Amino acid sequence: MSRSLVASALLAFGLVGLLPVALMFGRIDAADLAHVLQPRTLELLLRTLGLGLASAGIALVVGLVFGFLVARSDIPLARPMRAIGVMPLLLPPLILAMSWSAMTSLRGGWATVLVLALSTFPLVSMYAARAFERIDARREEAAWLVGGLRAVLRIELPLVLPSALCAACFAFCFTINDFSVPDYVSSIGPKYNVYADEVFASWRSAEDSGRAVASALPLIALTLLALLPALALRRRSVLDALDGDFRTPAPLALGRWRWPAFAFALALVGVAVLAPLGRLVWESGGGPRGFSFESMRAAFARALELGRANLQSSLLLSAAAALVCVPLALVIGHALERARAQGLQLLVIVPIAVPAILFGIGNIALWNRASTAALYDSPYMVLVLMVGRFAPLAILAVAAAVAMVDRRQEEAARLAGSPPARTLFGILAPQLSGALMGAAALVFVLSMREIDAAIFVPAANSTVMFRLYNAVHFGRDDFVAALALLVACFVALPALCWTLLGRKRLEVLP
Amino acid sequence: MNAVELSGIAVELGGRRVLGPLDTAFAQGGFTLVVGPSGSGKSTLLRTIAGLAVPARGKLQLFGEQASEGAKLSIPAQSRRVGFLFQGGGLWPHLSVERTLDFVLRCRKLDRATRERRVKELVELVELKGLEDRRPGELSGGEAQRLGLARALAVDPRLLLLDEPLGPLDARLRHSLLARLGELHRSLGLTTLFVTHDPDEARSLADRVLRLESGRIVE
Amino acid sequence: MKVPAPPMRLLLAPLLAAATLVTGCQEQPDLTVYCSLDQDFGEPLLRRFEQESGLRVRVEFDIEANKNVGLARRIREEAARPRCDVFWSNEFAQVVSMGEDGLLAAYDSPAAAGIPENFRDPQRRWTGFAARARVFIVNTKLADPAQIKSMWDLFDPRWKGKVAMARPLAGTTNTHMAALYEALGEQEGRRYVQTAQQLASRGELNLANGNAHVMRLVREGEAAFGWTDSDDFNVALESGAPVVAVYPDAEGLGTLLIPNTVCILGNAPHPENAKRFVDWVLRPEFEAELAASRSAQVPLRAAVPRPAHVKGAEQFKAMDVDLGRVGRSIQARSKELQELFLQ
Repeated sequence: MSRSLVASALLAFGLVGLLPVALMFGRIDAADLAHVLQPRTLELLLRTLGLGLASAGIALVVGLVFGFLVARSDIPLARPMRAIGVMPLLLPPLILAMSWSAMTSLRGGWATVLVLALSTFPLVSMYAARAFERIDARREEAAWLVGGLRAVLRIELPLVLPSALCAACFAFCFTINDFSVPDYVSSIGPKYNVYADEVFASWRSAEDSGRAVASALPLIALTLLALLPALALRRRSVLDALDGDFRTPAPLALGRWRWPAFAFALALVGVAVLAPLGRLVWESGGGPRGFSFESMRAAFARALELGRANLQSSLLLSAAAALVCVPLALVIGHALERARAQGLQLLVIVPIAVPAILFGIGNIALWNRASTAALYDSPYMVLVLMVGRFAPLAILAVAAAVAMVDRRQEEAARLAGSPPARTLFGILAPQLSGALMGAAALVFVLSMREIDAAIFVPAANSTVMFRLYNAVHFGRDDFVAALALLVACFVALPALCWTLLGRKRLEVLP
Repeated sequence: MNAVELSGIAVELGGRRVLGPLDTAFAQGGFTLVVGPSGSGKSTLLRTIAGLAVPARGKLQLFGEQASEGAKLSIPAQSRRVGFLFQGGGLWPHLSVERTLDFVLRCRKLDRATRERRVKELVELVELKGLEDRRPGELSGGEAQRLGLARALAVDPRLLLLDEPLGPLDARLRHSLLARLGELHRSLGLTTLFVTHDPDEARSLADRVLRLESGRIVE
Repeated sequence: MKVPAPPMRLLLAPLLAAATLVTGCQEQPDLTVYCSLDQDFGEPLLRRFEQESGLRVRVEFDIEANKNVGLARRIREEAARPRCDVFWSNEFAQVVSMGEDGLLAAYDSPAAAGIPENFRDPQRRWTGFAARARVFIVNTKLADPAQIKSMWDLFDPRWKGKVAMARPLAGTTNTHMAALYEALGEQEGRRYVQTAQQLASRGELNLANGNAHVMRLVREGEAAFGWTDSDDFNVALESGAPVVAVYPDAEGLGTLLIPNTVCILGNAPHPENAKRFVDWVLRPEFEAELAASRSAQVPLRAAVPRPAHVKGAEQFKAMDVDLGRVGRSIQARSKELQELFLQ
């Protein structure tokens, strides 16, 4: 690899992703640390741990089964269900919580667990589906000869489990850092306070910001405890590079289980995707006050009138963030995979291991200076924040794809005299196009959804999520529903169409 | 002057010695068969000479020049002018036959006209004429191996390293490719190291047989 | 003969990204206002000031979920290089705290004439105007408003499970509870919040995540009554819901008024323009406009005209409490409330 290229990319990543965090940690002193561990906060932390484990556990089981069914079984409509099943990841969790809570009477801790499980199970199903698809047909045929479908599943489960567990770890991280869902679910029923509440409240009440930063440390530790095994499992789950000898497995006939399995998959898609979207459509038309198409038309007109500029701004900024992350992800992702440096891996995940509020404020501390005032005051600041926050996921996604490329290709290029940069861009990058586009799509989706860190930079007002969150809290349900559907359309539709109609699959998984 | 001289070369992987210490030399223009069971260090020997594996100890000279001493590579891999045919191919799946060869020739900074001429020559040399627009996935096993060979020759090598080049081929193709290799060796006079686990394979072409076992020369 | 894609294409991507934002490059504003009002509501008002004054105004809002944390924290973080000229807050506690920490500049606006002294900082670092009242929103189909007279009625067992308030960790509910400590005394104030927490833990009092949520619960009949702000009440009223507002403790403590506050940041980049804005916002005509608006804010000046459905400060007993003391105590109270309610 090209040392100068890698150094430049790491410098850029360090500037936007690591320095804001480092500046925050620099505020902590010993007195702040002493305040952190009290019985009350330990209890909150344990509850958060329980939430994460329960939610990730459900996501693991549901996602594993769903991933198998849509990737390898002969159930009808597998391909469209596989594409649609990703939708919960593309929508802000708060919107999903609002829809589901309106449709069920479940409240409190279990409601929080189930909402977050349904929101994150697509992660597991995507990882599991990919792992199932990469099992050579001959291994499966050998198992089938021995004991039919049951033997096949028993052989394949251990092969797929590292991937699925990796995804469950990511789901755990998303769950324990989520503030909006527990906050909302708690507001409509019994309280279920989690540690993310504590972090938020600390920023509100702490005059000394060092104490507020320190309050985030336990949550960061918990997140890292989950991210590190996720990265190790990710490495184990990457199978040998698929070469010309690989035989794609055929769909597995489920026999008498085919229709019950189809019913399960359909029910899951219904509950996780169709029901909340349907609810949003209903609410946009007036919902509990009486549905009408006229009301729906008016709600959409108002959403477009008030939210058009915000939508444009969000789309531009998110697309720009995605584009900027592509070369960063290629260079650093390649270095990460080929150099196999543990230290680099740890550094890469730092921006996603810290709470959003801490990352947002770190950006103020870093960029609000006379020398960088022009940047700080501009829309570019949102771009800088998005790149810093989400580049890690793009880097990990590309690294996973690099692992699938035969190293001998790079060696052959090296022997041919190709400089490292030319090898990277001319030999590897074209083969990684699915992963690069997937990484860009991932950054785009997350940037569109982002609000918690972005709120701390000046230009955040211009984003659509800003408009949406304000509308949620000021009770404009029909407007909220219409705007949420517009966001879902712009975020999900391109990816959905690509997945259903495109020839090349997007490799989005970190 | 020998083409390759190894003095006390030892290679370690994961703390375990996989090759050496070796003291041997390969004459210029010679055709050496490197044989041994799986895990004997045959591929590692080729990779060390090519600069793809870094020795822990010892000296390596290529055509009288110091290429490495210990772990220090005096001549990096891309500057050794080594043609390497990888076991299993290592071809670039997105590049056609023509673009694969052109890529290598561009790395050698040849002008366009020269590159076009050279690509034609190489394609004819390995009998891939008519298949210039095909990608590796669209070639048969034998055709893919010939593309790998053409790519190795495109470097204008001083040394040709063949790592089990006949492995994936059926008997008829092995015979055909072996004949092709023999012709090339006779016409180009390249110093060639041919790795195989089958001692009878290519014996007719070799003027020397080097046998490795557990990383050491036994014959 | 085609050649592999040149590496520059990938490097051009970020340049393209930058180019897409060229249109986003902004001229420098003449005034920057951080505003914690509802964006939908505040935006037209600020655009009007822009038109009337001819100044280029950059305005930034907060999100309700942050309950002012975002803007207040940003102002503090930006203190070394202030970007904001004016902070228009929809409450006062954070502003008082900023004044105490030396972040604000003093300005005695002539437009503030007539605003009662207890709504102004003695050192003129901030000025209150157009308040929201902390009221009980009552669903008349579920409760008789005449039976709800005192703030302690929230804990009356006959309303068990049918009452609501926002979690008092941020926003006006947080300020309200802090004010009770001042108005009732430390012991009684603490008893109030502890009682609320105990009932909430038993599921007898619904702790919503905001005043708007309390309003929705009562409006939709999921609660009989609960604490909210008068502007949220007005939203329910306008929707035609069967609700009335009760201003509790008319014979006793009175109803807390939480004014909007406006202040100029110390070292503001455009202090003169900031003063123009403050003068514009503190006009009696503007208070009248806010009273007549959807948010139905209570004018602090008795002479300011208002619609019939908006009570004037002289029409109910306003809680007599030193806003400065409440603001100065907010950090400590917030910590106590955090420990009580985040369990």
